[in-house]
Amino acid sequence: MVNELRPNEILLVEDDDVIREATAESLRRDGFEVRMAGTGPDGLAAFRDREPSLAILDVMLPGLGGVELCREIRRDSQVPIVFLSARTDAIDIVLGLEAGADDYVTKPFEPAVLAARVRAALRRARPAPMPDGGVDRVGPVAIDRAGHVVTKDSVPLALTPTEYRLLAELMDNPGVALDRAALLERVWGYGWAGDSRLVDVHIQRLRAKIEDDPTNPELVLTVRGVGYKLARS
Amino acid sequence: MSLRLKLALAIATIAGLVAGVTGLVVYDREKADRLDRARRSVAQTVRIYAEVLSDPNLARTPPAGAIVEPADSENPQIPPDLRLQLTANPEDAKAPPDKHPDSHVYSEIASASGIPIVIAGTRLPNGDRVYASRSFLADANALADLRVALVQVCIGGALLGAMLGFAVSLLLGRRLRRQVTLARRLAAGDLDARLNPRGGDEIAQLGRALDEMAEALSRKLGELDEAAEREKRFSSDVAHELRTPVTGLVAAAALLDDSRAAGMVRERASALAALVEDLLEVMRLESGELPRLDPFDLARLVRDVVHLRLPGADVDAPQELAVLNDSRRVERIVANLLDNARRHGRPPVQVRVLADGGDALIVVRDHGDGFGGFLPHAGERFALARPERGGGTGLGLAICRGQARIIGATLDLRDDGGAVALLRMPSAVTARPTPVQTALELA
Repeated sequence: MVNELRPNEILLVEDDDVIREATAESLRRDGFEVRMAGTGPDGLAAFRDREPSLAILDVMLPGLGGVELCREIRRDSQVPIVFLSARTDAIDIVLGLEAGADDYVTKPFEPAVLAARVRAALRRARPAPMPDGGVDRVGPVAIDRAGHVVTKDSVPLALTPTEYRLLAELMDNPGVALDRAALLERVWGYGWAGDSRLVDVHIQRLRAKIEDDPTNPELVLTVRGVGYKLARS
Repeated sequence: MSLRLKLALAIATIAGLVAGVTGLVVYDREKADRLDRARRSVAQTVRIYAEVLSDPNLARTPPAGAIVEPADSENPQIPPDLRLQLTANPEDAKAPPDKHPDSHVYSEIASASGIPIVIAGTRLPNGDRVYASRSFLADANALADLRVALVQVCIGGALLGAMLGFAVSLLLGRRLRRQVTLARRLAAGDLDARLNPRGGDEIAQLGRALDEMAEALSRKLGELDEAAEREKRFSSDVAHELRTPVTGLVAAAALLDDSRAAGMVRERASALAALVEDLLEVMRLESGELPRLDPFDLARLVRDVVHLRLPGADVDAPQELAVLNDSRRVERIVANLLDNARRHGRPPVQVRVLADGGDALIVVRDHGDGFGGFLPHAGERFALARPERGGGTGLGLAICRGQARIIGATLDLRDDGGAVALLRMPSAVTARPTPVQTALELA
């Protein structure tokens, strides 16, 4: 893999010509560089050819479905992935999130909305300073906010930017129960139109990476009826 | 009166009548028989008396038991009718007694001091009359016994009939009740219910007819369901198929310049996209979705949605109102209500959030013309209040109602100096520093 990272390069995989061309053009006008692919296999090849800073995948793709493609990309990359789905196809949304996507936009979408979601996803990848009261360690897990790195027992963990921001948000408020709406707003940048499944699926993925036993979490705890909180160490 | 009772009564009456009529006939025959025998026997005796008394060779002493009444006198023991018959027919007297053995003997039932007797008499050649009598008491007693027995049979028959009728009607009733049960089950929507009756009587026929009706009904409803399903699938397919071109259209329209014409295209493309989205949402609402319950602050949600959708509206809400519900659906409802107020109402638009008992209330009130005659149709699909105005998809309130149904809330619409929409949802968890208000103040 040639790793020649361009900070604003987006890979857009969408099979409909008009949606692909017009969306790409909109994103370009918003200042992004856009590469395009029309099928799943082409998308995967383009991704492996050069890793973009973010990928937009349509769920319905010929050859290799968007969910499959997402899973393939997640094998060895943590770039933010936003996928395009139908609001009515709840199953696709859950499958996409579980396959490793960070966010989704439902069709038909306004290009401006997509651009906002893309910017929010990219923002998560940037370092943010620790506020007062925050911690940089819980149990064996430590966060290096400047280096944007999380380690467990000093071994670096491969977290996606979204997983990183979720953990950082919890570590900024140790012991405080954060409800899903607050997490949606602070991590994803949603007002009220967010889907709380985003939070639940990402918490599961975060636990799978940092907990010793993800089914018996000791670091990221569920607060019944509210949301989640970081255990006080 | 239940059918069982009616049948029992009818059968009892018939049984009683049959027993009664039969008894009467039997009694009549028996009585006539006994009388006939008594008359014959008394007539025989009178004939012997007459022969003895007419025979010149025999002593003219009347035999014991015979009553001789001289021609010119009347014995008070003799019934006058009998005497009249004997005296009124002089022809008989001339004929020799042996030639007409019975014609000149008359008999009568009389009562001698309470004891029934049969008395017969004849005229002797000399004009005297001779009578013989015999007690009918034994026969009368026998007849009385027979009467009692017959009345008993009559009553017994009626009782037996009633019991039989009751038993028959129980059977009949049970069969009929099974049909009633079947009809009720059908009415309740269990279209697979069948009786499968045995036998060929009218009740079995009725049962079979019911089964056939159920069969036809279930077939018809199945066809209708299928048609409705096909129509739903078609609408859903249309909406799905529309999504890709509309998405492309919206994306492409966004690239156009800032000219008036381009603005018109963009605006219409967005309206089309909104319509497709609303249509798909309505389809999804009908597919039986479940809410996703999370705790959230309703006051904050409403403030945020108002800020996004209708910043000019007045919000009157507590600092915080924690509820457990599906925040996305609540947000959809509030957003649609605000859009309606903006499109169809007039400012000022007032939004209130409050706790009422265990419920949370959201009231959106504008000061326009209200729903008016549209009120009964509000919430139907594509029921547009004023087609020439507005610009909504006509699905907003239908979506509100559908979402409200899914989250267990009720949506009341009414006119009160403008359009008023009241969303009441269960499970307000806690309210913090709340201006004290009740739902009554709103009404």
